[in-house]
Amino acid sequence: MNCSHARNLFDAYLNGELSNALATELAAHRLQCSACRHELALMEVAGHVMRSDPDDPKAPADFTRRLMACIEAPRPIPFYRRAKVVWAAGSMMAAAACLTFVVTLRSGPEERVKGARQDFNGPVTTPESNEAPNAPAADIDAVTEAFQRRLEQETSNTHKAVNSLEQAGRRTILNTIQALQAESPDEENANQGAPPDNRADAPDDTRGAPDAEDDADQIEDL
Amino acid sequence: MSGGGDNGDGVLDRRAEKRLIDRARRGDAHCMRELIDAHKDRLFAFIWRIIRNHHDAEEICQDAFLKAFASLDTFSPQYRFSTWLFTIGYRLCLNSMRRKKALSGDVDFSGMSAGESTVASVTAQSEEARRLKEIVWRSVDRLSPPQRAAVVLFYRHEQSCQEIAQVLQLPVATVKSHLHRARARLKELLEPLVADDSSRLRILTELAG
Repeated sequence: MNCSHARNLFDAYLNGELSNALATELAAHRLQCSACRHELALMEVAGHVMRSDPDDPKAPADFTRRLMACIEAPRPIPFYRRAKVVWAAGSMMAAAACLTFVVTLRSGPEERVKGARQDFNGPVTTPESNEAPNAPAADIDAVTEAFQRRLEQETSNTHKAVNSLEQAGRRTILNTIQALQAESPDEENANQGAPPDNRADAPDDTRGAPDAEDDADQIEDL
Repeated sequence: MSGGGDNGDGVLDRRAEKRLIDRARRGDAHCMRELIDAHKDRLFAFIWRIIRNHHDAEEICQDAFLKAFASLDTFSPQYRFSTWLFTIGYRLCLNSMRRKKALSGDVDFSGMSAGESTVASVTAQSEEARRLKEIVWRSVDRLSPPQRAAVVLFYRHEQSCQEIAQVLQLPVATVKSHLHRARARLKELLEPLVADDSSRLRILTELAG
């Protein structure tokens, strides 16, 4: 075995992966070659020092206690989870707002009026209700009845006003369409073959609608 | 729970370790404590050898345990828990060194131990042996992080090349290459210290047994 071959075996020898036969060959070369003996001794010494050093640092004595305190303490919410929570809360609030809007739209005009009055003006007050705290118990029913009548009347007025506004809006749209059609007869002629859906349906919706003057009166009543 | 699986030097046998991990996975604090006690010193020593700073080593060691417990569900029982912990610890060491490098520009890893003295010797040793130990570890400090990790795991923790490959998440051939380069570098660093002193080499050879 020459030096070059021996040096190629150094790592396998130091890793403990050399076969017995090759290890013997290397040992034989080592006895004869001072350079290889020196180099291998240097590596073995370094390995021995690292292996046998008794002074490895140890973790601090209270390491486990402090680590367990960290593990058992409530963990701060990571940023990405906080973002998720904010997003979820925002979504829920948006959903709640949509739901409230839909419920408000679907509820009758009387509930809307009542709710709006209570929201912006406080409880609905009438001359009768102002007298209620001092009235005798027997008059409470009469006061309540008067209050309900007034409420129904106002609700009915509101309902009518809303309907008339809707009809007036529809009439305005129809008038505009008719005016536009009158201005462009060519287009009207071109569309004569098509079923006049809008024109046929719209008058039906406006049938029985009060006049614009009535609308104005009802708005005044409000 | 008793530490019945402890083989005497703080290392758990596989069955006891698996039982502890299963219970720790379900949030058993007592089992977590046992796992910490069984591995903390070896992990701390490994991290300290890489990072060479007591405060950083403690922090990284703590983070390694926290990360390991947080992701116990992903732990594969085919590996040793210590291997997994060492992998996490090594990764955290690399991250810490990268952060320091980013903060202070181009950092020579070998200089990281400059401000930290080596562990105080607790055993009676001759001046010669103490000096030799200091020279060897100082030379190890001047290796690159993967070379240092490979050398420490191989010599200090007596792991095979296959086990080191698992810890460092590298192919076995790469680990052998790191060990080869580390030895070559150690030889370069140690050679001038002994070349002119044949008596010292004789002492070293005797020390090596």
